[in-house]
Amino acid sequence: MQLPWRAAPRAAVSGPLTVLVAFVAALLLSFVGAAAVLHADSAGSAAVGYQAGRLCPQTVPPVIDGNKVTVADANRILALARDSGRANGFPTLVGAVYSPVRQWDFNGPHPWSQFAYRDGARDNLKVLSGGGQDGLWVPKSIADDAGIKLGDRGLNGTLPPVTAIYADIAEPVPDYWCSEQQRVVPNPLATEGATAAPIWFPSLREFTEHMDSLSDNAAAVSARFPVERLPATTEEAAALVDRGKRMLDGVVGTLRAEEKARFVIAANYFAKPVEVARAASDTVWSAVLPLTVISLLVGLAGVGAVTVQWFQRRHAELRLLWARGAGPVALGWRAVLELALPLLVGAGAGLAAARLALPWYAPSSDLTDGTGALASAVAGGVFVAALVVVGAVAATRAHRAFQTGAARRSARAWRLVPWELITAVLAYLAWARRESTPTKLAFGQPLPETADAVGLAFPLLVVLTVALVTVRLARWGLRAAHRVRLWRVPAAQLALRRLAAAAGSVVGILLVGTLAVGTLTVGVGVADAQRAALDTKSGLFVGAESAALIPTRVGVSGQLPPALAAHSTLVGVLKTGQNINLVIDPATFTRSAWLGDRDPADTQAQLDVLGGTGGPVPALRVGRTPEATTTLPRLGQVKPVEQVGSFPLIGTGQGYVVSRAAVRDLKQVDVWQIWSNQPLDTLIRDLDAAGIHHLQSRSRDKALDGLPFLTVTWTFDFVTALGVVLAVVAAAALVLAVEVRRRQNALAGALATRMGLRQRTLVASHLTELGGLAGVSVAAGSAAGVVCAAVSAPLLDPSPWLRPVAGAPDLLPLVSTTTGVAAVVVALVCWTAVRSVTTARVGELIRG
Amino acid sequence: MAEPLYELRGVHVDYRTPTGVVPAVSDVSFDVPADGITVLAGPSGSGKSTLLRVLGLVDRHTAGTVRLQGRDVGGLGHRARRQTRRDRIAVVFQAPPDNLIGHLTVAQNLRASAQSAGRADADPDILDWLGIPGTGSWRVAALSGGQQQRLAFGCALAREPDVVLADEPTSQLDAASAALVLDVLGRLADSGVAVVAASHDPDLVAIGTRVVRLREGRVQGEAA
Repeated sequence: MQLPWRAAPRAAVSGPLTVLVAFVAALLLSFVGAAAVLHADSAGSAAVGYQAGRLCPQTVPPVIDGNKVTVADANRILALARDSGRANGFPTLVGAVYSPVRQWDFNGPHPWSQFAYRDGARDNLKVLSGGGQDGLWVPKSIADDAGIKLGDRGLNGTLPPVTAIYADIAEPVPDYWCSEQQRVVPNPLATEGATAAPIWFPSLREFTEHMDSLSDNAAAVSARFPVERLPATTEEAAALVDRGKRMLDGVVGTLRAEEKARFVIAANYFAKPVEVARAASDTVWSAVLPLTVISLLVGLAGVGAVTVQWFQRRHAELRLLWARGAGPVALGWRAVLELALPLLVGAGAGLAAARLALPWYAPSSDLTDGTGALASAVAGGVFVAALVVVGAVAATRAHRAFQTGAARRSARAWRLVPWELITAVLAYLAWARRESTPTKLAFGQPLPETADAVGLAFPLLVVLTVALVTVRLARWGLRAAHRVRLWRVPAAQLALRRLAAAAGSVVGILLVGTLAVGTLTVGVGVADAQRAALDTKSGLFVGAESAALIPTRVGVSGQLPPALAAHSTLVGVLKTGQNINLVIDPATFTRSAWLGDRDPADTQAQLDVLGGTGGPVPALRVGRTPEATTTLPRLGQVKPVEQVGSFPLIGTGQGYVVSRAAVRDLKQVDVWQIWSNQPLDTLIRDLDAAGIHHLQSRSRDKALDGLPFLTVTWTFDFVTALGVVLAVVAAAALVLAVEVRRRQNALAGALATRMGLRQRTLVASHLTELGGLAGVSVAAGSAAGVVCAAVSAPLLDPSPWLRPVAGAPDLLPLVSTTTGVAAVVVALVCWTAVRSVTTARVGELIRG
Repeated sequence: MAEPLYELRGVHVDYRTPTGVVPAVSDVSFDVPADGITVLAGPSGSGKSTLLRVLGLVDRHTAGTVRLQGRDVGGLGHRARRQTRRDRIAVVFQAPPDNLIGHLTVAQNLRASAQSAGRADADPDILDWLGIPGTGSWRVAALSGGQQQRLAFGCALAREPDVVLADEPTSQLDAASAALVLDVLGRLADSGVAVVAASHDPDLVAIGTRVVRLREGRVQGEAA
């Protein structure tokens, strides 16, 4: 290799600005490419984590349940499960057997109960008295009802003695019990004898010994395979499901051969969530891909601009080499050799930044194996692409500059393509596809619509269209600007001349700037809208932060212990036809219910007029209920005095809200709920402390399947991240555009000031030039982003039938921040431009 | 008479501009001998630099014939023209820094120039020959303008070309530096290399063994 090429890497240090810009361009390119890969995979992991979090941890691995089996069969099933589990990577088995629920004899009393054994059960019970390991453990409710004491022996004294009384297992059950909840927590609403609290045997052997003959073929068995760590990535989850499938196939196959499989349910409940998680990951990837590609193209265009700048700086050397016989390809290679190192270091830094910043821009830090390598490969690919761009741009410039001197016909041809029309048509098609997507039903209920990559691309295509239209108008405007005479306002005339003279840079900065502000605004807008929609829908669905069913006697009495009353309110629910009617306590409702963005004072004012009058019950009517006084079963005559569009629990459905003080017979209420503004754990703890039985506890954060919302949110969070990257590119391009013209500006400015141009006018001209550029970008981008977010938020709502439909959030703070940041960048760049003029030494500049 | 290095017959060079086609050289015919110093003389805009670019296979003539060592170079493709430039021609531009690679040392510039023509390195005595001994390890920027221009001719010599084309080689130098450059040019010609220089410097015209006077793109006269 000849010396000029061999010395090229060292030559790079002679142009630190080019090196720095090449480094930054490669960093951003590599970051965008790698981050897209990492983010999409991270979305899959987050989806796995979210769904595992919604399931009982013991049902994430495969489960085996058997009903109406003999105790001997239950033992056989457990033995098979243990063997097959060990063979397939499930070393821990938590097996349980249950006798049928009967009125088992306990020395006279015959309480409804069931005998049971579960591996490790006694380590997960709260002992109230006794605690010996060699006898039966009886729940307090049965011990109290049947008068069972420590040392008593059941079944005519044939059973081991009672050695402990334990606290009944209550909702919400701890993780250890979650898969057994239906067996160990009696359901008071079920028919008598259908459920009962269990009496625990000390060992499976003793259970078998005593219960085998008594259970007939009515025993139940459950096998769980808890894992030390729940899967965090789609790959781990898929591996778990695959191992589970092999394990279940082994157990079921053997049982089938033994004709014992009829009453066994072997299930892999996590298989579907894994599919959903993969789909979420694919959707996020497909949705962010177009903008990622656009960002990469913008970045590569930036690398091309760096190369052009490099070519200008090295023009004399390149002409010399060409005159000595070097061809365009060799000169392109020369550029590659000089810029490869900063590009490589930049690509490496971008990859590292993408990996290190993962917690800030991605929904999960857990990645599947190989994703890091894939991200590295993408960063490597981006680096190679950048090298190709450098080589190609330098070779093409050399060919044009030295070999042919041909005009850039291709650039003119590209300008003639109506890009904005193409993207507008694509945006329309994406919108039409989203609008025409039919709602899927399951058991007659609408399913949340899974985010569709094409639909998700709609807002981005709109922003891109607006950016391209802005660029087209700017190009026309700059062409026409040559005829404008504004010398009465010298600052404006100078600014216009500078803009028109650098039309290429101006158009590039406008495109990237508008795209950046637009994607940033639409990203934040749509992501926030979906978050708020999930929040609001969950809140309306549950009614409060947490809620639970409580006994009617508590609801009717209205008396709660102070600790509970401090954060809770009682709500009676009556369903009459299509109406959901609520009986509330106006004094505590506003404080405890979930009101979302409703003004508590307004709500309180509406509830305060619901007091009893002796006549028709004053009611707050919700939704499309009649305005006139109407008669409702069990409530009597209700007279609407206020009207609202939606209400907690009723949502945007229809019904009435009345005060408990106005209802004559509170016992007519169907069910009573307690609503709390505290997390579920606090509510349950206080209910337990007050001795109030509770059921069907629900918390707002787990009320709805939020994954479809989260998929949209994750997608637009990444869009926001890309918007930030593009904004950095736009700001850097603005700095670079001024920097490459520094000498020319300094000379022109210095001469103009010596000819009488006032410093104030000089500053104003730079502010007008740069401010106009940034202002148009911010105005067009923000307008596109705000309108697009407003249109897209309801369009992308995965559950539009669950009101309220997602709406655009208030984006004024974001737009204000964007404008402020743009103003600061403009001020700084303006300062550097003016400073280069004021510190210029004209003599040196002219001498050249 | 020995075969001429260049034979130009009825050469036209036109430039396309936004306002139309501008003729730079019209119907020019002359020969360039294979030795001595041929000077293309004339005022600014007479077409001498254009002709020099045509001779250096940098620009293409619009009409007519240009032969280099008997071979018509008008129809050569890019590759063949590059090959010809690499093997036979050395160019010295007007501005001294344009002839050197700034981030290389003096010796490295000589070596780079030699390598560009397929030679391993330049003659080690070349710096003495140029009158700038001991500057091999210097950065180019450490040389004066005159020294840089002499080094440029040294680089041209290191390529061992058939012809050295020099465009206004003394126009950016003071009189003393220009004299040293002319001395180098004379010695270059004495070493058997053909030199073609475009200039309106009377001193350079004076040392020319053949002078082609141009005016408004046409040959006004020739003198040997």
